[in-house]
Amino acid sequence: MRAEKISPKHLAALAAVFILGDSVIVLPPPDSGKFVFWGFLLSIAAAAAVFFAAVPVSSLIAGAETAGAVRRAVCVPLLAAAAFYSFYGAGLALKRYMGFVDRVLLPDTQRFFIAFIFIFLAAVLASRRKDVISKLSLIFIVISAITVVLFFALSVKDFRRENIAVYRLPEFSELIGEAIPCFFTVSLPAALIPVYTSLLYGETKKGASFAGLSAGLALVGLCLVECLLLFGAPLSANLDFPLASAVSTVTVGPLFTRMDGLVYCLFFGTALIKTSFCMKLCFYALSHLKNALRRNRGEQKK
Amino acid sequence: MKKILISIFVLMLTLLSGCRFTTGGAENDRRFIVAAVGFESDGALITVYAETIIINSETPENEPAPKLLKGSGATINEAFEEIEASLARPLMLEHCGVIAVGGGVTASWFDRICDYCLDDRRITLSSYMISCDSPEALLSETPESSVAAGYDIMGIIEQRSSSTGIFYDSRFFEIEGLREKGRSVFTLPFFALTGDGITLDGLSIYRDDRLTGRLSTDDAVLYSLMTGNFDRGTVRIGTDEYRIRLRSAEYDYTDSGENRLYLKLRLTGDSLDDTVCERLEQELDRLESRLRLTSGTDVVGFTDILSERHTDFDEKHGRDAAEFYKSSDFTVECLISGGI
Repeated sequence: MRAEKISPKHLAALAAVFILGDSVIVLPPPDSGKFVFWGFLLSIAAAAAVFFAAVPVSSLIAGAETAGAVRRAVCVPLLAAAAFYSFYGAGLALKRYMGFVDRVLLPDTQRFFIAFIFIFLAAVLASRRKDVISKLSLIFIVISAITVVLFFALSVKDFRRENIAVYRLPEFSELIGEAIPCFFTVSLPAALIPVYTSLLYGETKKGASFAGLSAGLALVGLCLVECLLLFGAPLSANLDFPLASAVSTVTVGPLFTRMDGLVYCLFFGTALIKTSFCMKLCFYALSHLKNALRRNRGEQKK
Repeated sequence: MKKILISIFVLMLTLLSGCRFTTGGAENDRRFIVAAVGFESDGALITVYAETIIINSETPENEPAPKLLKGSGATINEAFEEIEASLARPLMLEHCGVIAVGGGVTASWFDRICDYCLDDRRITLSSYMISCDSPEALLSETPESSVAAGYDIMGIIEQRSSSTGIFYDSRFFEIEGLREKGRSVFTLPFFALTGDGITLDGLSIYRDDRLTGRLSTDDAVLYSLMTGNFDRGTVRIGTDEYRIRLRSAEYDYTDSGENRLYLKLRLTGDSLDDTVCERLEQELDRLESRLRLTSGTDVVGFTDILSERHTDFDEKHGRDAAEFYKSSDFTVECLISGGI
């Protein structure tokens, strides 16, 4: 059977939307300090490092089923870790989006119904052919990029340069403290991108994945900078959903005074695609893990 | 199987709360849109005023008219509940444009008002915060050019900001951003009722959330120059007027021997020369002296700005900034900068 191919632009779009995921809902992180932007820059570097570190690992685990016993012994825990982390990622994206829906979007609605609909949609998307989620990502990344750039441009008149002015450089401990929450939100998930392409398509496609990762990080960075320039770091850290609050301050003339709805669609799309991505990856990782373990047992019986 | 799943899904969609099939809903289709919210306190209780526009689709030929609703309580929530107790529908705070703070609001109540507005996501962060003697009187005034006094006030602030050059920076997120940053001093535009109706009549200065002083319109321009919240506008010195643009404001200090605060303003303007700069320096110095004498403390926010921009100041005088200010002299220098 010929391995399915994914077009580079679809893969890049998928990677970008995956990185946007639930990051745009929660960044800047709560309790972040005045050096959060520097911390984010450090986490961008960390994301690149994590991505390139995951590339050889993902090539290794992609061939686990047909590999020798030694390689399989190495791959089994890696596959288990990939399955666990992608399941955790799906759960976290779901939790963050549900938190947003519960407190902002539909506060009077029973959580169960919203969660059910969201999980159902994510499951349907994850169970479809591999190219469905990537094609949806291609459409959605265009909409997301336009939305993010448009709101940034509309907010420029309210930006205060002193909110991002640097009067002293952060100390190393301060920098690490700011980078850690950003690392867990945007950098570590980057490891799942090459794992996804390896397990589903049999190759890592570094170039397209990295392009998508970079685009996603750029958009997340733009959202973060918008919040910081509008509110400053202390107030941004105090807001539950900083980008949603930032967008609520944008007005276009006397008619368009509450344009929050556009960013609600952004949150829904990115959270849904990330959740589906993680569910699909979890399924494939578990499937590879099962086959590897079955082969182990078969060899042991011999 | 697919059709069954799709049917179940479509059925689930109808259970979303957006569809409220309440009986008699079409017969009572009033909306209570809040254009402005006012807060006044006597110390123990808080009184909330909600300038509400009642829109009734049953009688669309009637112009929507504003009505001032009032509620009091030991907490802000209680006060709002008292207002809503007499309404058939909840208040729609999503279009609130103005948050008016009365002269009797204490520092503690101001803090609670800000917490309430931040926590209640219905009140948009871009609502303008203003100061007034009596929110009841101000918000009861008949609007001149829009449907509610609150929207008139929004228009006045925006129009005056562009004509005077003052950055009022009084939207709720701007005020809250300053407070969260640790700034102890901020200003709110002060509105009064005059013979011409609702009038923007200067600035109210707040220090540590407490109303500390008021500035007239002319003094507000000078004050804005000192705090760097000025773009381009007309500055009056005596009977003369000068069109000035503030390029930059630099803050510095010395504490070796004599404590001194330095303010350097770089200005441009067609009629600007050394004589005008000298006169401007005298006016700014006079204003600073008057504010220091009347309030006894730093109501311009020099020490806040120095703490932010100079790490050594924060390390040496962060804890006794008030004492440093009291013992320091003030020097202002106005320089003509190149450019337009």
